[in-house]
Amino acid sequence: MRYAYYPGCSLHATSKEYDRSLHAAALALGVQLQEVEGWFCCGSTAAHSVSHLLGAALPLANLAAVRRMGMDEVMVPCPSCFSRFRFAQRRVESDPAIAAEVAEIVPGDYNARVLHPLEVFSRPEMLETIRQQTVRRLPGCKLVCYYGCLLTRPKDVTGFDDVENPQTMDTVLRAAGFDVLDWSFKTDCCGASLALTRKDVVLELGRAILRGAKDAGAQAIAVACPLCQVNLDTRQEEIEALAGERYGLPILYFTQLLGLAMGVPADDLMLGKHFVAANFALTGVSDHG
Amino acid sequence: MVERVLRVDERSQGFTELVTALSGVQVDACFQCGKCASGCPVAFAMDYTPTQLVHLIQLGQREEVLSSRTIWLCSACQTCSTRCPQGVDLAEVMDALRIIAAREHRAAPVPAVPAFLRHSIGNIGVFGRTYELGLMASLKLSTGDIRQDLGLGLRMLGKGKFNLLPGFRGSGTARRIIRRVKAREKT
Repeated sequence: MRYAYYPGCSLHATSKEYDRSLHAAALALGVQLQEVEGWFCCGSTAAHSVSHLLGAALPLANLAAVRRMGMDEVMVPCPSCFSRFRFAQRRVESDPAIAAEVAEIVPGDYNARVLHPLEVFSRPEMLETIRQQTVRRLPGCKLVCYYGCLLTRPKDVTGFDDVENPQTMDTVLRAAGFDVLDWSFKTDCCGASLALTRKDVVLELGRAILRGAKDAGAQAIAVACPLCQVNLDTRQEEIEALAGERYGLPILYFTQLLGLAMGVPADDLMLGKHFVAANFALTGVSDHG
Repeated sequence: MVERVLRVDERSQGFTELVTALSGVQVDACFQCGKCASGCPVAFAMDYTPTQLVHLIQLGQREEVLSSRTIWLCSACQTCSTRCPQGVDLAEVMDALRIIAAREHRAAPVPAVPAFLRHSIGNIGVFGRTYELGLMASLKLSTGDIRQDLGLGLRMLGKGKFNLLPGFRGSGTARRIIRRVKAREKT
């Protein structure tokens, strides 16, 4: 299996560990990733907030680059990019006026299928491979899966399994032997880029999510979004100070957890990048099978 | 949440149509059930809840809507759009409102948000891929809020979370696209 790969800005900067662990997990699962040549920012939150045309043109130009590589499927791990790509495709499909303008600014073919790694890893044959490749058990490690906003919403754009109670990440991590718990905050918002502009809002939203995970009995939170990870991890101490309680919840990418289970070398998981140390992951590993 | 006496007069005309046309969303379809307000994660910090904002649009309250904090605090999480029983894509409406407010060069009541949007686009135009350290620095300098999060930034730096130097890969194409879009939207 081979896909074009669009890392997006975060995975080459604040979230290098997501990039590296995704590559490691993909390798273990026989998935080849080929980085999109000359890719640039999809415009993220900013472009669509200032211009419909820019919000469509930046992602579609990157999809045109995928097509120029002779590929028609691209893996996009950052939910913000993933969402912007799919929104842009919907925009030109549903709005002929914008489509004509985009075609002049960014000529080319943008008909590449945009996939999130969770969509690929949750296919039945991949789940079977994950089960076979799982060589390490993390005893007593209870997780909750936090999907955030843009991976699941809106369903007609993302095509994800469920907007209120998604199961895709739960299924993938269960296949890797983790004890995944049910909880109520799977798709609640972390405040995203308000972290840079209205920190108070992000601290309050983060508090509710961390408290919810704690109440569910979780020892760690699995995420698939760079912004969710940074907001919940790097600001956790501040949130604890504000709330007057301690959470101590490591916020790990699902790819790091997959890597842990499949015996990927620690160097490729970069667990040391996180503020809240994943002690259970570093010490509680036992070999099995 | 605020309570205020509203005036519906000739100045109220045309705004609902403008928002509907720009967003492509039938704002009139809203019957005020309140689902968007109850699900909105940021409603607690807004002046008007999303439900109130839609009502204001229906009543043509241009000033109230475009000078609200609500349009800048919306985190674009899509919860309202997903849950609306009438298919009112409120996230799309919020984009349209931010675009109108920016076109009219209105001073935003939450200036950091439009500053963030402007600096983000500027950053992409220069570097192609977001140069996070540069974005933080330019944003903090422009808002004069240099001290906040300085400690956090330094810790993140210590963890190797930032690229110290920017790259310029993809910057030519990104810059060209931004320039062409701007040229088009000026006419």
